[in-house]
This record gives sequence, C-alpha cells and structure tokens, in this order.
Amino acid sequence: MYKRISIPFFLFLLFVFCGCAAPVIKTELDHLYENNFDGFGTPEISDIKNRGENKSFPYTTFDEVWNSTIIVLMQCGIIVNSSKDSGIITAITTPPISIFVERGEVITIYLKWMDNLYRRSDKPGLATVKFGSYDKMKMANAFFDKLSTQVYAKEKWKYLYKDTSKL
Amino acid sequence: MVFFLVPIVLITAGWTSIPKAEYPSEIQHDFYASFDKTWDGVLEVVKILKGTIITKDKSSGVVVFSIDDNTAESKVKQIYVNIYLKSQSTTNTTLVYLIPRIKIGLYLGKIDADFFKELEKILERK
Repeated sequence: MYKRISIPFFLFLLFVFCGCAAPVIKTELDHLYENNFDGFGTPEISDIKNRGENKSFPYTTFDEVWNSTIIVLMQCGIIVNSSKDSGIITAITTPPISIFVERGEVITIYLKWMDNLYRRSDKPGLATVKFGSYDKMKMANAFFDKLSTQVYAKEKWKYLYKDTSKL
Repeated sequence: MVFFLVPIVLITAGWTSIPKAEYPSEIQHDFYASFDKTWDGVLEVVKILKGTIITKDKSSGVVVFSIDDNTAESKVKQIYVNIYLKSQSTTNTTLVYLIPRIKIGLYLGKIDADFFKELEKILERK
C-alpha cells in the first residue's frame, strides 16, 4: 500500500524540485561584475566612430563636454573606464555605453552601445537582451538630449543663475 | 452603477501615482582644499573603506570603486561608488560628486554622509 503511494509521490517531488532548480544563465556582463570589471576591454576609437551614433556640440570646449559627459554618465550607471587623454569613457548603463569625445573646433561625441555584453557565456550566439537599431537610435537621442542640457544649461538659461557680482 | 465606478477608481488610481524623476539628485560637497589634496584624500577614504578601485583618472577627476555591503538588513552584495572631483578656481575649493549604485540601479542606503565625514577628517589633518 505504502509502496504504491510513495513511488508516485517521490516522482512528484522529483519533478517539482527539478523545476525549482532552474539553471542560472550568465552573461559576459555578469562575469565582469563578478571580477570587479578587471580586464574590461574598452573598444578602439575607430570602432566607436565607425559603428556608433554621433552629435556635434558647437560653441563649447572639450573640457566642458568631457566634464558634462562624466556627470551624466555617473547618474546613469557605473563608470568603468575613463581616459581624458584618449577621450574615451565607458559606463555600465542599460545597455553599456562607450563614448569617444573628439577634440576640434566643434566637439563631436561618438557613442557605441555595447549590447554585446549581454551575450550568454555558455552560448555566445545567444543574448539575454536584444536591442533593435530603432531602440538604439532613440536611446542615443535621449542621451544626447541630457548631455546638451548639461553642457548648455548655463549658456541658454542664464536667468536661472543669480549674478552675485551685481548685488 | 458598479460598471460606472470601476473605471473612475482605475483612472483616479493612475492619476495619484507618484511621478518618477528622470535624474537622481546630485550628491555633492564642497571642500576647502586644493584638487590634489582632495584627490589624495578620496583615495585614502577608499583605502579605509577597504574598497576596490575599478577605475581612476586624475586628469578627469574620476574615481570609481566597489565595496561590500555588510549591513545586516541589506540584500545587496556590492556597492559601486562613482566619484567625480571638480576644481573650483573662483572659490579655491574642490567640489566632490558622489553617486552610489548597485547592479540593478541606484543605491538608496546611507553612504555619502559617512564618506564625506571621513574625507573632511582627512583633509583637516593634512
């Protein structure tokens, strides 16, 4: 009697526990988090310029754009690489982003989404999250809008800042 | 009557939802010390907190480090702290921005006050 009940009951429990212990799918990004981003590979300038979105920032300086980029990025994610000399800054946002600030008469920002970090480590052909080109374009525009506000706020909306020298 | 009330309740519930800010507030503190002094002080605080530096670039004024969250109530393992130093030439001060984050977003625990207090102590000693 007990044998008849216990075997189906045991099988039932086995199925339940097998279902509970679903395998954890890890991505390249998960591994980077586990290693504190040690060995994180920043993309080359040519890679960012060729495959990314871009926007020019006239009537401003490299320093102003660079500092504003840092302030915007540190609010959106974790900065994992920054080099003012090379002009490249990388942050773990959603999706991760790599930016190149190009010096010149007009400062140009090139942006590359690093959604390749969502590739599964067990099956690199598959990704846990995918972003279409339209989504990327929309996200890039949103980022450039934030950055423009940060760069030009003091120039465009001077009335927001009190001029203490006239008091 | 009930069919009329249900949509009204749903619409009102939608209206009363709290709007989410696009940006978190900038956590910043002005220190009466040179950029170099403040930079060294920040690195000292990171050492005291047993933080692991992820990236640092003095020319940009950027230091990012991670620390374990050992508080009993916390379910978060690791906190990532973005720090940005900006020299204020007009006031001879250094502005320090601090934004702590976790893997899934902003870290809402208390870390900024402790960090700034420790940095203040170090800068007073120097």
